[in-house]
Amino acid sequence: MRSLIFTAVIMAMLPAAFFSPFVGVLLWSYVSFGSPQRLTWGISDAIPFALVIGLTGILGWLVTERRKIPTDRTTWLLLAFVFAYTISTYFAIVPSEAWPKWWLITKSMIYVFITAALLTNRVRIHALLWVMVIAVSFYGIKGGLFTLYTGGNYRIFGPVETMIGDNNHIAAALVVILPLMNYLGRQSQNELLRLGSRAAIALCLLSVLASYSRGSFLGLIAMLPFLLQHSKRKLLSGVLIVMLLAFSISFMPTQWVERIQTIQTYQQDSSAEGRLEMWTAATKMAVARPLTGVGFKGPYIQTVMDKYSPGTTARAVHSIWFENLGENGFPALFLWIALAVVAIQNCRYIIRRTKNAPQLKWANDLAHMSLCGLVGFYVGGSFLSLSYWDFYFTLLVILAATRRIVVQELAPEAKWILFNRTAAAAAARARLAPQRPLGGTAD
Amino acid sequence: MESIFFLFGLMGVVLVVHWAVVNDRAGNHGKTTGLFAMRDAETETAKPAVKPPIHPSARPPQRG
Repeated sequence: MRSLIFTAVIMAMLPAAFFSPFVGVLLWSYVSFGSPQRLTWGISDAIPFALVIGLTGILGWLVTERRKIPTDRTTWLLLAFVFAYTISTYFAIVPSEAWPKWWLITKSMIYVFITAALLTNRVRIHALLWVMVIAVSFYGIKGGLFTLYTGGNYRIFGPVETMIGDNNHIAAALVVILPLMNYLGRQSQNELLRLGSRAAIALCLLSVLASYSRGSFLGLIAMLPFLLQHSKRKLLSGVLIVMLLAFSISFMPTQWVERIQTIQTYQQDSSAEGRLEMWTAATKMAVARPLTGVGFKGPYIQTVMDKYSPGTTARAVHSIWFENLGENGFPALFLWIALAVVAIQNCRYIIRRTKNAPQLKWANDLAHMSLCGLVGFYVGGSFLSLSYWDFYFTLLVILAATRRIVVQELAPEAKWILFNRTAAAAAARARLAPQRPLGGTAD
Repeated sequence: MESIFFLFGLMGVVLVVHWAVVNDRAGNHGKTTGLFAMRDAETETAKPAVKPPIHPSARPPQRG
């Protein structure tokens, strides 16, 4: 039944995706970030939804609304990153493993560029954020209720065979969307949505804890000072956040507390030690092949591992930084870091420029909350393999689009200020100039 | 239970798509309407504000 409804709804919206390609972007985002098709069985199994929606959207973009892909720092860096990992894949040690992953990532990247082209106004940005949040929070809300019901004795996982399937990955994804949910709640006029977003935040927070992911827990903690920074009533917000966190933690069983406490004694923990070992192995791979790394999936292949780091068991690198370094070499890592720097710069620029612009309060809120999400992702992601997460790249283009809108909106104002300043300077010069009598010369 | 959540999610996406199409013309300035309507500067300023006190010199002269 679920399968039939899902198929019917998506198929019914396909014509809209052609005539209004942004609808295609929204549908693609839902299918790509939330993988709802993984939760259906039956007729939907035979339909490649992502491909169908993707092709319809691209066709619509080419035929009905062909907007140029913006040429800002984010898109140039994304393009350079695609180029870097393509070169790395070409020289991969095991191409048969690398190319399928290349295709998986590249098709998402194509849509990231189309998203960048079609994010032309705040309504589109807002709608896309809603879809992104709905797609991922589904697992957080469901997991939060499950945690309440079972007392936190079971781990929360994401949709199987997807980028966020692992418990650590779904937890990191939820950490990123927590502040975005706060943004959507704050910006909604509808009281029910505002209340709903708060309830969803609480449930997703429980899910993050119930994932037993220590990295995401650290990401959550790292995010808090940034959340407080944005709050008008810092003390009250701080007390509320600490109370919510304390309540959630007190709800978790002792096995959870024991697991989190191993952060302090990571030298004795095999999982943490394994991560350090993999980071060392990834660095060795990058040092041996600095320009290209070993290619996608290299660290997962035992023969590759034996060549560069004998004695280490091949598995996931468990770090967004080292995964990039080992698989794609130093150029790709530097580009990835540059993307992160530009994203933070975009946030800071938007926050600074919109501080005194009430009409752009939404952009100010969005930049603040995105900054929190990014910090959570960089800290939490340091312990898990999510370097090529399309949700993250989409958030980067959202920030770039918001910056463009802010620049565009403040441009007339800036011109007016410049005009006023020039006029004021001219007046000051006139006042300072030696006075000449009216109707004649001084001498 | 999961099916209910699934349908809620799907319904939410359909509503967002509809909202985006209907409000697309509002762009960066216009007022948005519907379930996902955004708070805008007008909504913010429409809140009842406390009247600033009037300085006695600014008051109109009283007659009689």
